[in-house]
Amino acid sequence: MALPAKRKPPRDPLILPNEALPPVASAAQGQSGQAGQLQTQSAGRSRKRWAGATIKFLVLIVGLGVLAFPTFVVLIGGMVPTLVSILVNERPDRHRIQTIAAFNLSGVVVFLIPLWASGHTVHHAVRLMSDVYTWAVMYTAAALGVGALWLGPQVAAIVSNILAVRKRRKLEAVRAALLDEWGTDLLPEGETSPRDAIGKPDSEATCDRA
Amino acid sequence: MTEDTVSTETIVADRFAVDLSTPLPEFDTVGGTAYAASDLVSVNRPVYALVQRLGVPRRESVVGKLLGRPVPGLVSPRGEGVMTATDRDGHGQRLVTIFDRPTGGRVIPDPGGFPAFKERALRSGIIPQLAETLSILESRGIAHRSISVRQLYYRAPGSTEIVLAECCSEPPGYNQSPGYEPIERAGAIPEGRGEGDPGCDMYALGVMLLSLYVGRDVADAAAEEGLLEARIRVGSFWALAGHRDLSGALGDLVRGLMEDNPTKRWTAAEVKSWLDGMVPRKTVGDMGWALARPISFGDRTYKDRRALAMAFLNHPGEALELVYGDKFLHWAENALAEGPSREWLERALDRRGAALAREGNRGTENMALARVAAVLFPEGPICFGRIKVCADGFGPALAMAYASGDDGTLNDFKSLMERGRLGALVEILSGRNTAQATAVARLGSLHKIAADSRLGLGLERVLYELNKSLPCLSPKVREVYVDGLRKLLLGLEAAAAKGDLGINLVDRHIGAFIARQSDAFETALARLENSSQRPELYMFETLRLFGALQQKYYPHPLKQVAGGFRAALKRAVDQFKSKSRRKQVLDAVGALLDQGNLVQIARDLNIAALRSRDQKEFRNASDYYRRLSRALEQLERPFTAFDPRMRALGNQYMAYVAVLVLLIATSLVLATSGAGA
Repeated sequence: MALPAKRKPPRDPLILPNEALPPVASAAQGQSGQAGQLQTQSAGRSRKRWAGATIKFLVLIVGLGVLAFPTFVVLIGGMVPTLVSILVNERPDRHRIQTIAAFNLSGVVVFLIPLWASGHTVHHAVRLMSDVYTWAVMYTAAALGVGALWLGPQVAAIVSNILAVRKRRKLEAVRAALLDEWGTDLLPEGETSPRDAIGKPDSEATCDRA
Repeated sequence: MTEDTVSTETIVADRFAVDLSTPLPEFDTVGGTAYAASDLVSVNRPVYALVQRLGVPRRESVVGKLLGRPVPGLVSPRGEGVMTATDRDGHGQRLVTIFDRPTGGRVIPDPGGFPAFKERALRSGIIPQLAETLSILESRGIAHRSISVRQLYYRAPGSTEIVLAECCSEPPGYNQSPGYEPIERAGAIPEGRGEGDPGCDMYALGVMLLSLYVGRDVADAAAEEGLLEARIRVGSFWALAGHRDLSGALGDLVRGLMEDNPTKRWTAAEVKSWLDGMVPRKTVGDMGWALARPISFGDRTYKDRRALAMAFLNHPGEALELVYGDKFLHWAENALAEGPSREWLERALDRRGAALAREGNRGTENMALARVAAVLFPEGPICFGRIKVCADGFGPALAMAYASGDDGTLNDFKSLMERGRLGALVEILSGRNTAQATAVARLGSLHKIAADSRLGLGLERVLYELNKSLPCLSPKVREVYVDGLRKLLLGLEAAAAKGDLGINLVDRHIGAFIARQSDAFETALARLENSSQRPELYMFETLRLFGALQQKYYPHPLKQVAGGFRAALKRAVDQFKSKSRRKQVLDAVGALLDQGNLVQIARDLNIAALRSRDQKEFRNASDYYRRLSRALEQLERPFTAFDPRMRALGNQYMAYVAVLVLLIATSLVLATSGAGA
């Protein structure tokens, strides 16, 4: 005789277990003091790592100068903005250097590939470096990188604000559902409706934002 | 009568049609109202119906012994049932007993004066019939307790067959003049004269024969003050016969029947022997009524302890002065025939309580007198205030006090139950009142219940314990004859249908009735009482109690009773903080209430567990709400480009863009250089 299948206890629909709740702390990650502390520690580690990378980069450049001198000539002249940004950067930021370097390299690579295609001679390299337009292209590209770094936080803020609005709506819906389920007893003492960050009732806060 | 003309409500025991429009006042008793009735099966047999009053207990043991086994010389019960009627207690279901109807009328229509019966008529007509009837009753262990000239009927018009009136519908002895009662019971109130024994019937027969012989009801004079004392002093025969001696054999019979010493009194068998010409001679012991040393009280000297007890009860103040004086104990030690020890007397008379009694505390004074009466006249009634009841008449007396709403007597009963007073009296009477030893022992087992005021106990419980056939007297179920727990539920259902009983289903009567019917509910009743100050708990205890009752005694819907719980349950469920839980529980409970299913509600609804769970989940939700609010507060602050995180994020975005630009630029250069080559 087959034993009856063990019944899974029915889940109480009234229970809102913690694991079922959407995570709320991630919404504003990085804005709290704790996040700032973590960032400082991370910056220290990054600085050390960055110094090691710079040394490796210099060794690479010297090696390049020995093995591929024409390329070295173009790179050493064209990548000066990147080198300057590495040297003057008090807070090593990988992405910042990457941005300037990539834009700068975009301007340099325009001349490197024809150099390699035309026999990779010192003469050609000197001719390129003696052309003012070559310098203009390479340095403008680096300037575009700097410009992008100025534009990046603006774009990030706009995108984050858009995402925050969506996140807030979602959490407000959860809060409304909680209030609907549990009533105004959930509110802190003295409050009769949910409040926003500055203590106004939610409805007023919504008006202000509007 | 055909079925077309008889409504179903008037049919009793499936064969008797009761006509409530035709009362028969000549058969009324204090226990019920008589109506015309007919036997639909034996059409020629005359019967009448007696609608029993709710509060007056029927003598169930007597009915049980007579139903189906009628006694020829007695108006016997033929059937019983419950029907709806209106009486002095109101309208509702009442117990109806169908009796044989004597149609020949009363033998003595006017007891005040009637033609005296000749000795020959008595000897040949009345005495043999009554002796036979009483002999049969004695053989069945029945004491009629209502024998008098008013209670004699001719069976049929023109018939000489005599029948005694029914003896089931009222407390034993209630209908008697005190003169028809033996001395030890004559001092009791009518409802407290007790079941008695066949000897009481034989005594009443003697008084009745004396009355028939002299042509007047000699016991009518019993109402006169001092007659009881005269009976004690000169003997009942001489006191009631008015010093008119009866000569010859009839005199022997009447004197033998009216003998005050129960052991010397003639029995029915001896009356039969007398009819055969034999006069029994009895050797009897001394009852110890005479005092070895007379005592002066008031302006008289007493030589009989019974008379002294009566005198004490009539003059309580002086009696207490004497009893608690210095010399009484010494006197009692020597004067009472049984020779009580000084220690026993001191304990029985409770001399320590004497001071309180003399201070004017009514209960204590009553108790002091009751102690004195029990010491001097243990065969007599228990005397406490208005209560003068024989031990075996305690139940009917209590029932009648409830039925008549006599608060004074009820208060005396309550006072008697307090502070172990009844227990003390029982202790004094134990072994000294041999005729009522069983009843005394019974009271001894009940006085603790009586003194306990908890729900299901107390005086109400004693009422139902001593009157086992008494229906529940709760005003809540007045319209239904509640003689069991099933009927109790039906009664409450009917009452709930008429008005809003709510959750207050249990009063003291219902509690006592339930506990009397089944001791399984005593714990539930105790819990119910303990929760009386906490409305919600009280409601759930009531629900549990009635759920258990429904499960055991009436497994059918009790929709109206259940409906009474709706509001209270809603109040309890509304205290849940979770809206969906409230709805879920209310839906489930509402469905069960609609079904009238108290059993399942009581079994499945654990409101305490649900509440605990609700509170726990509410705490979780509160905690989550706080975290949510904090997150929302943070989200309320707009992000700016100067925000370090936005700067880092922007740099990261631009690093990706830069790599992309590098790849595009490389690809383009490669493509153009390739095309050029």
